[in-house]
Amino acid sequence: MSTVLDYRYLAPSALLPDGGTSRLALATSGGATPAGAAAHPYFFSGFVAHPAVVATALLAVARVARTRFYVPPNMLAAVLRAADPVVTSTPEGLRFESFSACCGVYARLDVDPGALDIYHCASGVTNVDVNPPLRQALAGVHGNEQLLLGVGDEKLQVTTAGGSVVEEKVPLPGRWLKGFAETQHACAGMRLRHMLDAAAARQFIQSLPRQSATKAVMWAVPALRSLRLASRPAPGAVCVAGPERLRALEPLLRLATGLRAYGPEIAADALPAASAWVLDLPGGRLTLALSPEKSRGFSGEGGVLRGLAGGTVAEDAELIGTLLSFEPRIDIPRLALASAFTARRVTDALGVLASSGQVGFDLAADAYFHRPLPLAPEVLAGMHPRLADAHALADAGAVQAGGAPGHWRVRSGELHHDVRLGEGGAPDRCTCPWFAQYRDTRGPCKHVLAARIVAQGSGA
Amino acid sequence: MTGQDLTLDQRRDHLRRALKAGGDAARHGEQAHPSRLRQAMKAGSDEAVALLRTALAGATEDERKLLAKTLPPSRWFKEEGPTLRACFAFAALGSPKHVVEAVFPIDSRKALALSSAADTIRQGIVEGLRDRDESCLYAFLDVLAEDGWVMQELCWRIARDLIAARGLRPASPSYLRRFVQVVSGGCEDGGAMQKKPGEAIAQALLADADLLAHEFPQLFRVEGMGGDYFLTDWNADAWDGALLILCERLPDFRGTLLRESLDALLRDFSAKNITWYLRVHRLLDPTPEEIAHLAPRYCAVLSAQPSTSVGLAQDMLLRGAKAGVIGDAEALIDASGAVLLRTEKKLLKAQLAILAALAAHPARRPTIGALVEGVRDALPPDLQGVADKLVAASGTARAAAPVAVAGEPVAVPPPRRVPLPAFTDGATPITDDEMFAALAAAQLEGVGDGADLPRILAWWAAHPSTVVDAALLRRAQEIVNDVWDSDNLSPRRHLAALLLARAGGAPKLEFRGYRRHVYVHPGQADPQGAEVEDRTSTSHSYDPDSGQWRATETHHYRSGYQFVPTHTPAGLLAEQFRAQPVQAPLPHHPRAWERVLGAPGEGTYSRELEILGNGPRAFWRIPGESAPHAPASMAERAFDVSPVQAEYTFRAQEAREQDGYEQIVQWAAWLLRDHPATLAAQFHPTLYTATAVVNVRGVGTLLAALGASRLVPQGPEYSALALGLSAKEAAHRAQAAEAVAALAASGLLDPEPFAAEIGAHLAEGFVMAGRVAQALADAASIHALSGYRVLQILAALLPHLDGVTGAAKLVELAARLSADYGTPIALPDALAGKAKGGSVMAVALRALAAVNAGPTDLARQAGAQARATHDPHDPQAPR
Repeated sequence: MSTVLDYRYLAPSALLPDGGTSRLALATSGGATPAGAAAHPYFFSGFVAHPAVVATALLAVARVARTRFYVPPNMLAAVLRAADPVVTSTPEGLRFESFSACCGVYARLDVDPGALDIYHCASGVTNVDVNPPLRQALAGVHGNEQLLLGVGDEKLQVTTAGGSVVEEKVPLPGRWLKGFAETQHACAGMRLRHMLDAAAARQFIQSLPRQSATKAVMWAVPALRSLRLASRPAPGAVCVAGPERLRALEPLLRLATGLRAYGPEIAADALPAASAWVLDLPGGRLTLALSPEKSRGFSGEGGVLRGLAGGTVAEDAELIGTLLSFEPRIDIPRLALASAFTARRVTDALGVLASSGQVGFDLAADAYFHRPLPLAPEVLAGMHPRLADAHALADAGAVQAGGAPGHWRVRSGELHHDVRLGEGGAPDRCTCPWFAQYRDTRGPCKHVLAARIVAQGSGA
Repeated sequence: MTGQDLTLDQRRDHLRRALKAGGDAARHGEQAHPSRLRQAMKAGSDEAVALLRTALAGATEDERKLLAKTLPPSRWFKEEGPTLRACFAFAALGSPKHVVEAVFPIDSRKALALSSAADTIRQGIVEGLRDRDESCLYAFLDVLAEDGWVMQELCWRIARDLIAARGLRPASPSYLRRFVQVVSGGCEDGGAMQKKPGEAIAQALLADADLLAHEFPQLFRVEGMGGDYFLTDWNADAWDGALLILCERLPDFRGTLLRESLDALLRDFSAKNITWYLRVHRLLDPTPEEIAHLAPRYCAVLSAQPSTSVGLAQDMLLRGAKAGVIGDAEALIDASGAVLLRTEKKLLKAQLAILAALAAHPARRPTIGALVEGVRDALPPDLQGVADKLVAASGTARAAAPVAVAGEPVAVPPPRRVPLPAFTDGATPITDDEMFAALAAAQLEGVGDGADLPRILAWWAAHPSTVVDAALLRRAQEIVNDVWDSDNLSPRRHLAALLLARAGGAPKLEFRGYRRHVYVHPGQADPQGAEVEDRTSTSHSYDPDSGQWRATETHHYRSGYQFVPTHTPAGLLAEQFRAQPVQAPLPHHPRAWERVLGAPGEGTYSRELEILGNGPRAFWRIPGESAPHAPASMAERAFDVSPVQAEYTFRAQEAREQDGYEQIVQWAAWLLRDHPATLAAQFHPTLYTATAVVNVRGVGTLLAALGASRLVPQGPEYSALALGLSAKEAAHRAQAAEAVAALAASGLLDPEPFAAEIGAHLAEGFVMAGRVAQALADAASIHALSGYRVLQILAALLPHLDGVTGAAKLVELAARLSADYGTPIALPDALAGKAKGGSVMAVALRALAAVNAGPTDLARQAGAQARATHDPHDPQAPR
């Protein structure tokens, strides 16, 4: 499955001298607002308190989008036309997001409202153009100049009402989109594990290897002075697969005030897991999320599938989706009240919305934020082929109850697989090769999902 | 009715008429031939083209796709050859890729035949394409640039005609690469690669104002062009010459070139893709006035990622600073902060030099002093002196470093001389078929632990009624059939075969020994035991006249394999699947070891491992011990390290390529759990390989097993750890560091013999000082006692460092740890003479000599932890 992102900008983004001020005019293409879809929304205008931070961080976000951190064997590292960053505007600031071409690294720059002197602000989400001349201009921004940032342009909307002047189609694999969405769900399961001050952060990032083997997975653990990369997991460790990918933060180190590492709970025998690294900057922060392996994107995580396979979580998500309106921090108790769901059901529903590109997760705030990716709705549909396969098995009557409670026998092609559904937090198990290889690290296999669907339907 | 208003049916009608006009000239199904082509070109082409033009006027791309079904243009072109109307129709209706593939074929014979109709092709293609959508034209130009290299000259003319006709502005990397090649004169028609001199390139650009105004500037703006092979390598000198000529002849060219080459460095292109821009800028050698004019851009480049960009900006700014022409010095000082936090010493040094030049102006000194003061401690030790001078010149007093409390260093007890209590086996026995199936399935997928194999095999042997389900059996069959395992050593293939045997479908997997390739010249006798076959090899050469390859020489020989008997751990494990499996690690008994240097045995490396070379290596053997006589027991063969040297190349290769090698090492580590020295000696080839190449399997398992040892380490273990500290992969070095820290934590790490091994490997060139220093620093960061033991290792190592490349890194680490633990180290005589001057080594040695004795927190922690290692019940013992 391939996705074609269709960008249509009214003008190229540019950094323009405007008297004694520089005006960073970011052109917009497509998007969503509380009032509905918009072709070229105008979301924001205002001065930024830390021009060098915003310029350098925006370059870093754009660089992640353009980078293949992993090039599969037999594939040339071609210069790619990458997806443009996505910006979300709310009264609580701006968020610029990008996702690498290899589907393994996610970047987000959050600019706090305190670092913005806002003239105009409207809520919504859109794509913004970051072209080579703009990158060149951003590289020249220095700390003591005045920078007026615009996301969209009201005047341009009027003067070029006839159509767009910059059009580009960017074909991307379906897994890119799926991974972009799945990253948010992965981040929601992470907790703060390590904090470093600026000097220690510099020391740690600069000591990372510049290249590593395809399957290189290391684990950040506390050392006497800073963090070190251990070869084995341990409780409290944060997985760093392909450690050189974290060097994407390097250009920002001179501006950083600290670094925080987030990851899921890790046991001594844990398999590689996703991690997120938040570089604190004056007036904002840059988040970098890394997939569990360099050669493996976020799209294979499947973490949300269990929730989708049974119960009413899909329907819950649909309802919760209608209650959202670009909240910079989604208030779960408020949503629970509005939907008459329990907080747990709201959280599960948000997980589903995250994996379908409707909400993002802010690790620093430990909260979801509403951000429907500016893509055609049909592109977002059908992002869970494994779940579709499981439904097909269930619908075909391929799932039979086993001899004991929680035991199921699933026919898949000519073969049967024995599934044991775990109760009370115990893991599910299946005898298929996929499960033997990945255990529970990439979400359940289709046989477990099918068994859950049938079990849910039968009330077993 | 004009062509613009035609319906699709009317357009089809016109096309059919065009097809009939002049059709007599067509020769269906025949190869294009010059005489026939001429005939075809004469007859009715003009009339047909006029009809086609009418039929297609104003047609959209969608309509053209539909019309192409009425008149398949590729078929027409194939049947009729390059007539005007066939070319026109093909270009007007065909997809860019099909047009280029058919009209400008890669096959040189076809191209030669078509080239006689070059003018007709050019006219037909350009006229046919002229009215198509811009997106189609740009796509055509791209495909033409990518695939039209055999008829490059004609393709280029067509491209330029189209660009001129439609006012196109192509800027794709493919098109620009073709532009560079054409202007460079490379790969011209006829296939001859030739370089144009600079004058010719300059003339080519001057002759076409459009090329100079549009295409040439795009070379600086499109990612990838800065790394173009023609610009940076093949014809680089001629391009240099051409640019200098253009600078002379065009008044503003030099200024534009300076700006463009600098702006290109700011577009965030990769280091590989800026090579030409750096070359161009350096070629122009900017004057001080130009540097002054460009100073803001240079300052911006200081924040660029590639160090080569920063280096260029620094060179120019230093010249500007020395000449006193930098206008906005404050901006340069501000931009310097980005460089001073980098790690490349060359850049740091250059930036300090720029700041020193700027500091000639007293008013700037305070700002410079404050900037440098902030980064001083992060600078490499040998640059801190330069930084201190800048701080001193600013009149700012450096913040005093915290003074260590003087006194006696903390006493840290020595390592244990006796082993720790023996391991207690914690492996859970298999309890039921389900557990067996789960463990077996993990093995089949290659993610199981090789140490599980004994209990898997034991369960299988003890439970003849165990039933494996069909899914697992099918997977087993796939593993047996599909996993590449030329030597039949893969544990999962053997396990799969075992599972299949009970179901009645057992394939035979037999490991016969390492396979040595043998080549027997005609007349020579076959080596004993070799399995060789008659073979023939034929040399060919290409005949350009016929376009065929011809056999020029035939060579008869015999080649095949000789099977080298071995009892390598991999072979012993393979045997376990057929014999009574070993159920417990081999019990410990003391062995004395001897280190020998020797050349590896005969064998052939794959290409990636040729880097290992055939020079001597260190091996470990038991003095006076020879290979056991057959039939030897499993234990005797597992202990025998005498064949390691002879089998070195095979074992090195195995570590890179053998499926299931990780499990093999895991099993061996389990089997030799109480013989870590034997384990280390058996796997020395693996560790040597890991120092030279990446993707060596089993290294982590091996090092972890050595670190977990309960016995006092011997030479082979220290030797293995030393090699691990210098592994090529950072992950392996981290594993070695962890093993060192683990041994320190258990009190078993003895710095003296370990330092002796590191020193020997350094002297023999088997390990690299920089990597060892980095890994030892990592080990030192794990816990306080580990840091102290590393300090002791370095102290013991210092006398062996004279003449070792990169030894300064080790001395720097020693100086830092010495200060951290308040434990001075005496400079050995061999190094004392090197403590003078400004070299990295000298600065590090002086720093080491300046350490004062005194108690520190780290040393106290280390002392407590070391005491705890002598009392395993002490809660302070590192875990």
